Amino acid sequence: MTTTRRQFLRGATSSLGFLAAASAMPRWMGNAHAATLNGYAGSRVAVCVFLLGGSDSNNVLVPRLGAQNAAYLAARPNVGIPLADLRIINPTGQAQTNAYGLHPSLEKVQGHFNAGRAAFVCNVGPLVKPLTKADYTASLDVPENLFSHSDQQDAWASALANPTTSTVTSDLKVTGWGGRAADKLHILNSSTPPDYPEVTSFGGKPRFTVGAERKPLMVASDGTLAFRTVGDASFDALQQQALKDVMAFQDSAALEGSYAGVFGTAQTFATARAAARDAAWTRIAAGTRATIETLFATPVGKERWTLHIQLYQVVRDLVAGAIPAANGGLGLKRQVFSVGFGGFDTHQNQDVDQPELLAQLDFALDAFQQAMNLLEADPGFGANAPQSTLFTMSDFSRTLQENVERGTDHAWGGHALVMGNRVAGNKLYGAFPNLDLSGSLDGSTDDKGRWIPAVTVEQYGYTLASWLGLNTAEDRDYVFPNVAGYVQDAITRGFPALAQRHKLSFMLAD
Amino acid sequence: MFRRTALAFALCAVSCTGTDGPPEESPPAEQVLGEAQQAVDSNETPSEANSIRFLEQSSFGPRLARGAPTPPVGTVEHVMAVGIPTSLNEQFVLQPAAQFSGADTAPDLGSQFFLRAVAGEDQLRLRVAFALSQILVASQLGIPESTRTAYPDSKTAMAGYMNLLSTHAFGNFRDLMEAVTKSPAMGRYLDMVNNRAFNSAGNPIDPNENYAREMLQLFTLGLHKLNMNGTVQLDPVTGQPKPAYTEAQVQAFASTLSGWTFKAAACPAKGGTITTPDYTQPMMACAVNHDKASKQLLRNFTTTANASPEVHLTEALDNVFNDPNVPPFISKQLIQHLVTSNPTPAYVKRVATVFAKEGDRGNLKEVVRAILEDTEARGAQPPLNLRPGFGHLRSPALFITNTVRWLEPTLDLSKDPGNRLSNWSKSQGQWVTRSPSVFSYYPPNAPAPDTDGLLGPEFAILDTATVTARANFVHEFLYSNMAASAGITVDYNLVPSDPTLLVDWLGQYWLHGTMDPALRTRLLSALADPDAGTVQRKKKLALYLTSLSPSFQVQR
Repeated sequence: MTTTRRQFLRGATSSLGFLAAASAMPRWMGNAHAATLNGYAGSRVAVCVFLLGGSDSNNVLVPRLGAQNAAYLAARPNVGIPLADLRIINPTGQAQTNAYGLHPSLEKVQGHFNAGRAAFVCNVGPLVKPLTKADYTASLDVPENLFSHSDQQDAWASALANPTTSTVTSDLKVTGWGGRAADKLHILNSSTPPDYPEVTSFGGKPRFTVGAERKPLMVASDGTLAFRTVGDASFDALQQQALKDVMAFQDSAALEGSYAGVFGTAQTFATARAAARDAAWTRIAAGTRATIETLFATPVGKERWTLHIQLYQVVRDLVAGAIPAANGGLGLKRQVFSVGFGGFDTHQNQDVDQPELLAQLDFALDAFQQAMNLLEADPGFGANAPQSTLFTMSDFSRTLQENVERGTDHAWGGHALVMGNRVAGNKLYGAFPNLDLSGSLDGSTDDKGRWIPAVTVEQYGYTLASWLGLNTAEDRDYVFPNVAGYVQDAITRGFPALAQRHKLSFMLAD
Repeated sequence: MFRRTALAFALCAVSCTGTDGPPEESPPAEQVLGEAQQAVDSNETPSEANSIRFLEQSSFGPRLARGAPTPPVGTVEHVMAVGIPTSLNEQFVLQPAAQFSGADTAPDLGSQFFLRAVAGEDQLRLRVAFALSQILVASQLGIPESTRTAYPDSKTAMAGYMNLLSTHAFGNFRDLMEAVTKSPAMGRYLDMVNNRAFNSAGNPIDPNENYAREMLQLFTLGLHKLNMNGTVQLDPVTGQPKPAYTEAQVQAFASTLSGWTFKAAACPAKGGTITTPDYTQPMMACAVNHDKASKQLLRNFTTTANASPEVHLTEALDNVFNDPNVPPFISKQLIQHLVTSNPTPAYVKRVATVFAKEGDRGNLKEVVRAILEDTEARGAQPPLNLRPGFGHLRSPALFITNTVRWLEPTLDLSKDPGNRLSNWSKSQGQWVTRSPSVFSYYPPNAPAPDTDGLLGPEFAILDTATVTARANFVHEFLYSNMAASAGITVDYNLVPSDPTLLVDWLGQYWLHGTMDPALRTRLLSALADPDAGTVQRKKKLALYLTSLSPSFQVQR
């Protein structure tokens, strides 16, 4: 069994090793050729930005008109954004013009939204089945451990809101949907060196990055994945070679082999990554490189910001991935990146803290999108020019009703942001919730304003994974085990059309 | 203001005198372990390799007496002189030199932990407390700062919690359960504090289930019913594991444990809370917020109707403590933390039987003794038939402390050396006192990669970044000034200079006499390379390679 399995894995990285010890062959074995390059034969990357702590998206996307705005301000006398401070957007497809506004910190996001490069997916969150208020009250198929940070981060990262009761195998229960997508997309990548990880993580939620077979390259948030050297080249070479050799001596002890495997993965891909980053970067026009460096320069007084540092590393790694192997790059077709930052658990003083959090988000996302605009036109990539779609996830949104400490508490469905030149932007997807806390509360778990999601994480995630090339029902159901049952239940019980689709339409057709 | 602590002896000088004065017994001359010596190896007269292994399992790293006339407690020579049972008895009575402090002026708790781990004498107490801290998890990251206290909240709370674990490390598990349940740190971390059975309008509400659930799932029972040997009980009809408790029981425990809040002068009104934390005292009970109703707990036990929160807490904890799952569940995890990730069912059963001993149930001192004196743990090497799957990956903290203690540095406390060690541990995925969640740094049932089903809990935090951080810790420690600037000074004259003696010294001590001849050959060829450089650099090269070798990374 061991030999067979190892041969099958072909040196698959085992960096998050606890997932690799499945006792049975993965059930998708044999249909691994299902993923395709879809409509684009060049490089595509999806970038997950995890807003750790539960981002209050009620203040990110705010209705400006009539009863909705009145209900919003009534629930938020202290943390609500005054009408005059909202950054007006005019999404297509709305009955009224200028019906929504963005948080004042989101200046650059507003620009990208208006330019059609960004969209919001409204009221998305973890679900097992589509839920009515009555279902929720009766505890029918309610996600496990709602309102708990760790559980809901896991629910978003895994796209499995019912880990205890789900019938998926236990080796899949510890994976994330980014990693499972990599299990399927791996076939599209023929990198140099072979089996370079599809997923690279600089932060965010590690769970998201872990597949059953494919393991992520975990990298420090400053982009460094390198073994220290003393600077004496011949000594360093001696020491690194000896270290590599030492890994082979395992005393016939299984756990020593496990350790050596992870160590070897790090040594192999750290070196390849560093070389590819350096070589590929020189293939980009010098002016583009200089502009990108400037875009990501830390603003004065913002030395504690980290997201732009991570996204700069994403740029460097996606350039390394997209430059063909013949020119020193890795020649990857599909990559997934994970970044993130914390501080969103604004139980207190949200009126002070949230503007700064969103300012950091705005700056970093803008730098990244501008960099991508430049890179997509750079001739250095040949036919493999990169396309990116950046998307947000967060534990949950927060109560519409503010608390007594100028803060908000844990809630559920919220609005996610997607950004990129392949996004069908300037539009709202999903369904914006009814903010009235005095009425029927059909869309809220209680009178604090905790929205029952109208869109499930699976629909959101599958839209993105599908854009990357995941396109058969078998692949879909492997990466998103609950989505088929969700859609079937929505059809059976007559939920709105939104709930009856496996994916949304926020990506442009190829 | 320099306080210099010679790691090897300074702290020992205080209490070594009080603990024992073993008759002078010259330890066996340094030698490669032979068959004959293994044959006479016993707990009372352990061989050198057996003694080193004992210290790997029971401390934060073996040390050498280096010819001291009376080998200090915690050294290999001392264990060889007095034997395992006596060594354990000595450790059981040792107390920490200082309590963990939450004061603003004190170093970070991680720093305090590492200082005590590398230099403290109460090694086994801290090692067991550290294991318990990864089973009954609270975290500084989950305890918010408030403006209502005069001290740093999370630091004070976790200092108290770490002291609590240290105090009860050799006590009774039932007492530990009660102390943890009433701990304000745990109360805040898992919402036991201000957990009310009524809202502010005085109407009944469902109490928060957070503590009740984790107490059952993680601290005492686990998810599934276990046999005494730690294996899962399966339903004979469905073939599925039998659940250890039901959702209804979680809710019943939540109600039974409702009504507790921060210590204050008086209880709040019905439905009210105490909003000013007191992290220096156990929580207090407030009957006004308690669900007095009788509830059905585990094994059809029914709580007393109309009883106080104190009575109900006692009933609830007694009920859990006496559940048959507790002995195997706790025993197996302690074995995993101290000795091996994959103990045989027979080993688990032997230890669990001690845990469950009638009239002495939950005696952690005897449980620890049973773990460390067991035939599966003892000997110059693991039992032959168990070697392929034996041991556990050293967690970052244990990897760091073992490496540091073998090198016997001098510590300059004015430069906060513990903080440097703590940061190295953080970079490797184990930020001590700041577990990322109630599930600790890594779960006890995580598999080891590519082993077809062996457990390897520590592998859950071994990835490309953290494994690189392991290598870079050693590199920085040896080759940069990071250790020295943090007041950690190694005298490399203590390490043999001659390459052959150096490699044999590493094999004899760091790998307790089990260096693979092929590893030995490769180390010698590296040291013989013209690029290896000076004698000093050769020493560091050998230390770098040995400490990162699979043979050292896995404690066997």
